[in-house]
Amino acid sequence: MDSPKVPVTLITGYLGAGKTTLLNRILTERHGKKYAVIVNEFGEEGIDNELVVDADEEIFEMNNGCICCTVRGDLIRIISTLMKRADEFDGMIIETTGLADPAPVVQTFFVDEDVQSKVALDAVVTVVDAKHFLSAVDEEHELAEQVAFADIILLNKTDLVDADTLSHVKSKIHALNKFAKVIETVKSGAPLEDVMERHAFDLTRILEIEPGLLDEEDDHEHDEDIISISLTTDQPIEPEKFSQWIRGFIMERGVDVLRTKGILNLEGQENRYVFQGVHMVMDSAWGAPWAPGNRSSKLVFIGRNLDEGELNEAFQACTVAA
Amino acid sequence: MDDILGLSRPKATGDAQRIKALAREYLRVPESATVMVSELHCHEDGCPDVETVIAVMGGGDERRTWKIDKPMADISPEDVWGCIK
Repeated sequence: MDSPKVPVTLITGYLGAGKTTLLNRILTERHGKKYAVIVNEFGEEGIDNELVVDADEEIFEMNNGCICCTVRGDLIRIISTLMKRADEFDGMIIETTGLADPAPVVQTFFVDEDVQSKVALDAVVTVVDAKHFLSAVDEEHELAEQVAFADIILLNKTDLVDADTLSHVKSKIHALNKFAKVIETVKSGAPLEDVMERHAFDLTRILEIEPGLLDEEDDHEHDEDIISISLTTDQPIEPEKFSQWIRGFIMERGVDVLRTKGILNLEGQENRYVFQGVHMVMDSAWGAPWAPGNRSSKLVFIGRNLDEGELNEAFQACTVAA
Repeated sequence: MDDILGLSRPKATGDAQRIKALAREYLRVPESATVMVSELHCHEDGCPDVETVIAVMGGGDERRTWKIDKPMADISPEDVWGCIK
């Protein structure tokens, strides 16, 4: 039997958002677990851990600068080396620089067989500074990407803003990423069980896409560069039609599509079909059987320059009723 | 159950390990260096439909990379030797 994979938590966030504070909270709470920590830079705040490795943010463009084929060479090297002493820790935490693009980091976990066989990306946790987010997000490309890639967002420093500002920040985050669970914090004080061991990339654990997410009024503005779009249908999906459409769409627009997630009711199948993607890297699995009655297919995209009406039309055209 | 939509990642077949071992042998890569082998299906203009990238990282040298325009499963020892010699 294969050994269980070492979980890796990725902490991103803009400069001064509270990433290292979160990291130190994780490391110092009494959970009985040891973590190997990979950081890009040693900031003013020290890191309270025995095993800290310095990464040098080496972007490795495997294919002429195409973002879909870009990984982090330093992480492949460091993870390979760390795994030779895997008995010394229970998990890894990567803290990126404030300016890091999360896409190459995330893709690193899906391109190399050795990395894939030994470690598993658990979740992308993005720390957002409530006070400075609104003034920075439209100017700083990386900040929007960090929010867009997140599974969990710590909306931090909420004590430094008034209720109105906080509401605006939440709306903006929601527009960029409706997937993510948002936790409001002061001094990055989130319960650890909300941040660690979330299995956000584990297809076998995806039963739902954020309950309630798809029922909300779609009230965000559509002039965002990055937006998130959720689509749903109660009609069974015709597998061949859907396969042809989604594969063609990702092939053509994979550079713009940051993350994709879907739970599908395929015609004639008793089990859910679950898939997810980061740019062009896709993966799928059969999930649990559908409960009687409710067999709603859901599809979510986060990306740039996406047209919700067009996507919905194409999605609805994949149903057996179309 | 089969992946009827064709969205699954290819399962590990041992080809990456086989190519890594060949690269290590031919290049005399030190233990301390990391060898990465990855099959790319890039759809950008100008890229081949499938290619395999071999990269050697660390071990005292800068990163070195080689590309073979074949899927990993079709790569022979001669292909590896031919591209890195």
